[in-house]
Amino acid sequence: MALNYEEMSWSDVRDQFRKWREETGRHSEEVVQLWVAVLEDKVHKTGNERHLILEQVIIAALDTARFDIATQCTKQLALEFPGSLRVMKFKAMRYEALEQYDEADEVLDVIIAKDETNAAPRKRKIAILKARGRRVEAIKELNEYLKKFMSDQEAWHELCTLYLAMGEFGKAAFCMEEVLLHNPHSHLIHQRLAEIRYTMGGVENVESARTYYSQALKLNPHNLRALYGIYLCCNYLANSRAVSSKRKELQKLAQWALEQVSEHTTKQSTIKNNDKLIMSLEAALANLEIKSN
Amino acid sequence: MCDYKISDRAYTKLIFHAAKYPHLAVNGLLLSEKSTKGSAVEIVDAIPLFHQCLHVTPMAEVALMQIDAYAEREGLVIAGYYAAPENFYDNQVDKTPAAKIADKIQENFKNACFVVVDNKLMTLQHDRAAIQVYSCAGEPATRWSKAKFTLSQSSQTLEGVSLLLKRGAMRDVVDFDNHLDNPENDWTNDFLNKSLIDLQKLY
Repeated sequence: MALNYEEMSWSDVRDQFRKWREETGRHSEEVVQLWVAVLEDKVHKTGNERHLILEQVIIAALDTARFDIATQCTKQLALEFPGSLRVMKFKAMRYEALEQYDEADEVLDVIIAKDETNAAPRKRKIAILKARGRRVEAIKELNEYLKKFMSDQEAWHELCTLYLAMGEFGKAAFCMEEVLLHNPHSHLIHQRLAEIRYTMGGVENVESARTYYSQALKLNPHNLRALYGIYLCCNYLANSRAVSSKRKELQKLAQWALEQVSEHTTKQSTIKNNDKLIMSLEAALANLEIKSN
Repeated sequence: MCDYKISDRAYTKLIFHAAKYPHLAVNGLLLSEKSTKGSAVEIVDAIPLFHQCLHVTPMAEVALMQIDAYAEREGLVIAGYYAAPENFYDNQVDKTPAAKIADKIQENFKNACFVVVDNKLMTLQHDRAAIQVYSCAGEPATRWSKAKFTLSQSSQTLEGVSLLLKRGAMRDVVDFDNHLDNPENDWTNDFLNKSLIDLQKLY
């Protein structure tokens, strides 16, 4: 996504920042560039959003190693909110960005001691463990955290990713189910759960995957991954099921899904003969199965 | 055990893919000509695959089958797998995500290579190729061990890639994930198939 910095006014930039905050995307480089080019001089015009914007810029600056910007913005916040724990967290994040993890841990421990109910420093400590490569410890700490802060869906999502990296698909599926409880209408979560179940393999899991993919498709008819997923699941089940009536039904569904994929893709794709590539799935499916069983 | 020659096109695409998502693990496939000349395997192209959730398999299966058909059509063969680990300090084969795909490729192509992107060497100025190449030695092939590789026209390639990275060209590379989000995106990255010199004129 290329943004035209010369044409964007400060209010456009402010709106873009707000959009990124709500979507929780990681556009650190763009945030820093827009800040330096446009918003830095005009930030006092943004009213109440100013502090949120400053926080966003601090995190983006730390992400892109622009420590000068980060320090400057942190100082601004510290002046207005002296002794604030929220600002102190940025001090710890700065240590973290400089890879001075022990100092960062110390600052975070001080914040936790002052306020036991503060979730953010605990999560930063887990992030530090992850950055240090201590994945097993991070999982243990995250489990402890979730016992106290059960409704933190960001944490459940993170735990799911950690379990996937360790190959513990069952536990990852459980975590993703927790995220699903908070977002029952998200086609992406349904789809992700389906993917985990499919990876686990076995008739029951693949059937479960098929229901999740179907739900994802119901919520978003343009979800290409869900269509591919339904095709893969139906194929798997058709090959493993004994009952012939079910098999016919599954094959029909698989055929429909593949045709939908082909239709959606070739309408827009610029790749030559993309439909032939998609149809190759039919031929090749028997040969290539990468499952971790 | 054989040596590998990596073309500038393949190197450019794989580095761009890793650079586009600096905070995520990425992976992709490497293609080579079907008929091998001599003892070295020449990797001519790279297809970026995923940047999200590399450990789940369904989309990987879909991608592998389509890319197999594509390679067949272009007179190429899937000859390798590349991946960039998420953590900055991970640079060993066993810490690299989705290594199973590499094993599968090796079953079909004996001299398949496993390229691990060396995060520490991923800078805006490439003095050395930021990758490590592994291949399977011995019969039956079980472990991945370090292999020798050369980058074709090494100094020009490294210069060219560094310049393009500084100009932000990596943002335009498309991987299979981008294609699944929007079928308009071309995972063959046809536009990057120009020579590095022509690409530099674009940015």
